[in-house]
Amino acid sequence: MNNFDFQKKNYELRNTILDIFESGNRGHVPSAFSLLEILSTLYYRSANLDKDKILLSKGHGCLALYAILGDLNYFPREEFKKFCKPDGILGGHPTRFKVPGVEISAGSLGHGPSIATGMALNLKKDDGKVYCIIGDGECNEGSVWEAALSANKNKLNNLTLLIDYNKQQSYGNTEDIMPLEPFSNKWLAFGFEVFECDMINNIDKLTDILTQSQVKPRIIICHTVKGFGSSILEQDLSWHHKNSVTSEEISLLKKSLRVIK
Amino acid sequence: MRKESIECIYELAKKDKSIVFIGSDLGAGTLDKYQRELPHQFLMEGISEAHIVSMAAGLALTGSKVFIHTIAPFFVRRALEQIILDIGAENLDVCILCSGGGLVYGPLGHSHTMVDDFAILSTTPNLKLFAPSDAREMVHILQSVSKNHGPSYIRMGKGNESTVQRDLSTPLIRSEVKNKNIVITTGIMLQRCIAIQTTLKNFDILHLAQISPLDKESIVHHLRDKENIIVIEEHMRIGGLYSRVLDILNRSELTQRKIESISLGDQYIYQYGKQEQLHEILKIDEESLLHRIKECIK
Repeated sequence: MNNFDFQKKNYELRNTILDIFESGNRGHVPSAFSLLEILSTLYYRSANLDKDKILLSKGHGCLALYAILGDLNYFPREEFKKFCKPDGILGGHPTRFKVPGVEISAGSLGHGPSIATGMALNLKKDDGKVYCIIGDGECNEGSVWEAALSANKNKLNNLTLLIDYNKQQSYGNTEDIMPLEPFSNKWLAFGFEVFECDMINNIDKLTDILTQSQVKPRIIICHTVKGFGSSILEQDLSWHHKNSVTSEEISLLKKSLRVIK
Repeated sequence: MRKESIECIYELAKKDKSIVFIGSDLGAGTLDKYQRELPHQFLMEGISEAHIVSMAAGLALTGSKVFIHTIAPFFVRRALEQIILDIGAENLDVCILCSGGGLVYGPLGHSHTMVDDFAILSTTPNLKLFAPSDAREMVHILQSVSKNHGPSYIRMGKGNESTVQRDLSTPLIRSEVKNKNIVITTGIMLQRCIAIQTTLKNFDILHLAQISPLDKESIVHHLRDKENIIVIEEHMRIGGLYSRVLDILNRSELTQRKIESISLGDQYIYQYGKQEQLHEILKIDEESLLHRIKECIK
């Protein structure tokens, strides 16, 4: 997908995310906006959807995943209207056995990387790759680092962790709450090949990295912005998880969306 | 039991390439032979129980039948969320095979003993709970687990338990005289109850190596003609076999039946000591059990 079409797609997906959000009248929109381009790069540009696995460990970013899976016809778009409702399959955190295309149930943080190591061990035999998206705040969880030790020990050169490094968590700045820096050095020390990627100004770089051959477990630190793509959400942390939004607010959010150049 | 268990999994794994065993913090060389012969099926991960449970889920989600093994409390307590969310709720083919059930690690203290595993795991969705009495029954359970779908937890004994020669297809072990008393056991309490039967003949034994889920109809059938029911288990009183049998009776026509619990009691055990010593202190050694059963059925 060329850059023009790709950015148009991301703009449409952000609109869809707001539609789903409006249906359920709740959701983690800024997190979904933050990691959207990571997921859309994988689904529309880089991953082999027949062989590879894409795991969203950061389950609260699921609005982005739902928007993409719906767009790719994994399930009917009517499901968007039933978000967080008793007769729907889409909830505030994804359930694997309900939603076609979702590879893991998520919600409690820090599980994805270990599940990914297990999958990567098996998929190695068939040249399949495993991509696992985790949050920066999620890296506070010890189990993330247990998985990192194991990925290195098991020489998982088909495993890629992609960090949505928006430098914010629910309460405030990650560096104030639990500093991660020097972040790339930590991953280097754990035996990973480390890439950094500016998701705001150089979106194509992620695709380039993903085409490079891999010899070790890989981490891609994706520098993102929480609420990216909406001038309102980028400024206001209180939108991390919202419920009881009015249709006027949704309308304002839609107007605040921009196509990224 | 551990030696026989791993040997059994090895035999199963030779025939079924989808079987994977993951050990954590085992004794030196425990897996050498198996790793040499089946390196892709016998893995040794570190002291990272939460990771291992989720890793097993990842393997199971991509086609493997997984057996994971370490000392019971480190899976049951430390990795409980992973067991519930990644294995149980997902109904995956993962068997959590644990050593050190009950007071096996009594000398090492309460961080290592496992007196409340059935209570802690009782609400985990889809999880079958087993406590075999000896290596023969253990192998029987492993073979069954490998053929069937879904998650399971097996509490192993210390090892070198005497083998009970019996028909493994039925839980009922009758005494010579038909009577109104029945002792319900699980795990290694079976051998003790059988030994007591040589002195005290007027009770039957119902041995439930699978304690969850229990078959309500079968239990009610076995207990229908009994006046005294005694549940003996190496577990705290609440949340183990007694609680489960009581629940079944309460939901049946047998609500008024007398049922006694002989267990490790209501308090956590902070005392150090060998398993047998602690059993004596807690009155579940053979001699104490003999007196307590007598007392219950007099």
